[in-house]
Amino acid sequence: MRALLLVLVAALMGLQGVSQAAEVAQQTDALNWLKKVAAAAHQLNYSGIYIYQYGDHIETSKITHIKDESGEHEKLEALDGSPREVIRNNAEVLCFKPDNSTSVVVEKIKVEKSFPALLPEQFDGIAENYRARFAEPDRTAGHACKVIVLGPRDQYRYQHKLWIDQATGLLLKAGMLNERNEVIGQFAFTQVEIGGQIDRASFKPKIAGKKVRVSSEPATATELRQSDLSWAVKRLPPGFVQVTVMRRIMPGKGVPVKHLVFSDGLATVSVFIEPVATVTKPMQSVLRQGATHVYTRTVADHQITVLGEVPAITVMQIANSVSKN
Amino acid sequence: MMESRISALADGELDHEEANAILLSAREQMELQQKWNMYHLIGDSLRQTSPLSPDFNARLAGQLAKEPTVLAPRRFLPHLRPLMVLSAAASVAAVSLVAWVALQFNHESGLGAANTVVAEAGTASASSEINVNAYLAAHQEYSQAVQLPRNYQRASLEKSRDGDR
Repeated sequence: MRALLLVLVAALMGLQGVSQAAEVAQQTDALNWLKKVAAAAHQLNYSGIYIYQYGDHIETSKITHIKDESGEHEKLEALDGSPREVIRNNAEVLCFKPDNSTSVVVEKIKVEKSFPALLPEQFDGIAENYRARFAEPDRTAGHACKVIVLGPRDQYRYQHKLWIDQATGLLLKAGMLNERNEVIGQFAFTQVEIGGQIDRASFKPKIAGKKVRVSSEPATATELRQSDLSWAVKRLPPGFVQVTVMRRIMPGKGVPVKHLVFSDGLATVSVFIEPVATVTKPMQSVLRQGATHVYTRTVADHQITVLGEVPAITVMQIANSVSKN
Repeated sequence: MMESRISALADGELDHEEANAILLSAREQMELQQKWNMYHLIGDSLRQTSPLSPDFNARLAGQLAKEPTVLAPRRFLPHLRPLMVLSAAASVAAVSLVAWVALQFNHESGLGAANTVVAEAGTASASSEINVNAYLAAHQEYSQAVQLPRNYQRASLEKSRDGDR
């Protein structure tokens, strides 16, 4: 009898080992797919229409992307609200906005990640902070998709769900889900053409005006050395690492604001630090807009503002642990 | 123009070829409208909320009822009405300002609990909204939740290229 029990226990442990091995294999397979996804958004030619939805808000954009011998070219056009176009030529990103009926403003802007190029090139953070697994295959924008779920390993981040074109690896839909499995924000192509030739003429801005005002960005943000920071986040939630720190000129503020950026591979959190005299009205509560939470507090005559696409607990813990060195 | 030609069609003043052209164009308009409706249906279901006010359909029906009664061939025209109304409603929905929701915290549960959020205390005031949007714009240079830049006031010196400012 005892021997039988032992055999049973051993068998169960064996099964558990097998299922763990299967989980690890699935994670490796999923991460390999994600690497393909990260590259596809930059390497492929595609054009389509996608929506960005959070809460009860929705916006629609048209994207055209090519990769040729001269590099990456992309045009993003807002289809609702005031007309805006963003044209990217490799690292240079220009935003075209009508100023009044006859003139147009061209602004140099900075955008590190945008749909469908949402995934980073470095995957260490993702594997450490999220459990990757395959969900049931699905279909989106008329394409057969692999679906990868990135489940958070703790309460400090949201769950991400990615719909990937089976044939090319292009990300077709990306959703962020809260702890109750509710979608709190998502990007989704409603229609997309992948591959083929795209006419270079389609990259010319549509917004045209007689007078063109060029807004050259005179260094609104400059990198800051860590040694010049004099502030620290003492209890950074696990998995988050500092991406950059800068000194930034912000509208309506006479004094430069210190801006620290943290990331866990998928989610990003910003910390803004500024002398309290420049603050017009400190906030008393956590604010939420879709997946984004904001929390503010005052430390040593400075206002600390923490903002990111993370749960409220993450922005609060970061804000509450900021202190002067 | 189209209206007068349809009127001519109704009066039997057009020859076979002209009549065919009109009917074809009317059918294309209907197909366009169907595509438009489909597109909105997709958007609505993704959003899981109706972008239109609850009495929208009733108001639209009322609007259509006010339209003059027309002869049979002209019934293609009323189909064009909802297209315009929908288009206006859609663009209004898109430009409306997105409010921030203020969350109250249950102090007893403290920070240790994952679900500290207990109630939504209503929308944030306009002044804090403006503040937040400036931070959001700066944050979005690094985050994935990128929206196309809206009306954020950028702290940039604008230079005139053609010197006529």
